[in-house]
Amino acid sequence: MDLMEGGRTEAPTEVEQSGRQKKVPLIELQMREYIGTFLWLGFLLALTASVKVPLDSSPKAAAVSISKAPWVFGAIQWLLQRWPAWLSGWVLPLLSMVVLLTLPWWGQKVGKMWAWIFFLILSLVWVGLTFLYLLRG
Amino acid sequence: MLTLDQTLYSRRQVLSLGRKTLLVLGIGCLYPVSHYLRAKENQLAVARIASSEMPLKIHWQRLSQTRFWLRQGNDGVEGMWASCTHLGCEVSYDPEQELWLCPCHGSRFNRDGQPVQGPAVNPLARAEVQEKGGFYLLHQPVV
Amino acid sequence: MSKQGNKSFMEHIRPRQIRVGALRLRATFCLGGFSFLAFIVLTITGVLLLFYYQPGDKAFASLSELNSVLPYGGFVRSLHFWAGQMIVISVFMHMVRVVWSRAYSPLRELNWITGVVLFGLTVILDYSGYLLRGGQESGAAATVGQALFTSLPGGQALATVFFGQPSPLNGSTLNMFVWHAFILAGAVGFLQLFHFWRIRRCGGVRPL
Repeated sequence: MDLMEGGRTEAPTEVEQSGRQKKVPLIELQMREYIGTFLWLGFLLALTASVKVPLDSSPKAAAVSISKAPWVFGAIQWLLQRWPAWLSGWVLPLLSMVVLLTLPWWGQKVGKMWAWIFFLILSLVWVGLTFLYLLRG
Repeated sequence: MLTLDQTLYSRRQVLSLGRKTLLVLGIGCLYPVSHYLRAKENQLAVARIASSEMPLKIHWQRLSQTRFWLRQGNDGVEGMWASCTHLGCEVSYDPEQELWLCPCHGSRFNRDGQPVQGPAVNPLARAEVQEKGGFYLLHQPVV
Repeated sequence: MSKQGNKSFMEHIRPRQIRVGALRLRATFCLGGFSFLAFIVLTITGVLLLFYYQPGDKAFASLSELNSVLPYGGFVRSLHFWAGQMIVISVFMHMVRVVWSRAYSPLRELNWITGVVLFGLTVILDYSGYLLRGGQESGAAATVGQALFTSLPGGQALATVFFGQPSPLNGSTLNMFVWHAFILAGAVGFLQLFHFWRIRRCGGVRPL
């Protein structure tokens, strides 16, 4: 961050203009970053104070009958419950990653609108599956 | 909008306020973090073993992976805390010589923990033994 | 290095001037920044947890002691958990924003790939961290992961490298601990710095 800021020569508030856009000194950004940092930290502390983080069932206790996965793997869990493991656990996730990784290239080919649409569909599918798992087990 | 010149606080003031706040928060964290890190400072050791798993003899026997040693005494179970009273090294009992030997500076204690040789002058401390429901409960003695 | 050496790294990793359009909230929603902030919180709380957490058989016991008995232990653990959830969400939304603002276009493909890899690593960090709880549910999750790897040809070796020998009741092993706390966290830290450097090199946020 701006650890070395203090004590340097004053940066001009009006800076040279190049290109189409007006430019402002870094401090404008840093200021906003500080505000954002405290808002985010405040939100994190509020979450920590209000919602308790659960602990699993002890391995020494009686075996549980249903083990619900945390939301992050909700989508994969939903898939694993229905389709064979090689598909749900390997092919679909890896395929999604490959599609993501190569986005700049196929995105060029199909144009910006379609790139956005395909990406959105892919994302919404994963997010949707996550919600499906959360709400419908 | 923050870039208007009629703002209440200048940019530099916000920045310096931000920095000061982070500093205060950071220093404020020192107290809880030091409590957290030092929580086990003076924790005393405890151990529990089923009496069936530790048949007692007249010679001292070690409860594995602890500094507790047990033996069958005249009035019941006796426990010893095997820390040399000189500088705290772990001592072990040699049944042949009937002596406790300290590997660090050569202190020796007799069967009952009294020092017979070496830089140590205080006797070994006894560990408190309780018998409860088929178990021995051992507590590290407070120095 | 010259006396100015260290100072110039800090002074150069940030641009001197920013385009006005990049200051708008709608340009980035601070998502990348929040992700990095979450990473910092995770690292600090993670190091604090390292003082007391014991991987393997004692995982659950050390964790419940940490959670309930240790002063501020539960607080440190909760911070670690929530920052972990928030980082997955903010990295994902950051990716959505990047695609929307087409910041993957030519000259920035390498950074895009770095970002996607970071996303994958973040999710895996979440998973491995969950396994370290050492409870029954996390043991089940570890077993599922292990089974997925074993199903591959030659997967047995991979499964052992990643998971070690978890029991069905306890997903925490030394192997998983090393992956989570050192290898993956280190990789994410390093890649983030590379990610920031690439942004600096190829230009920062552009308005639409």
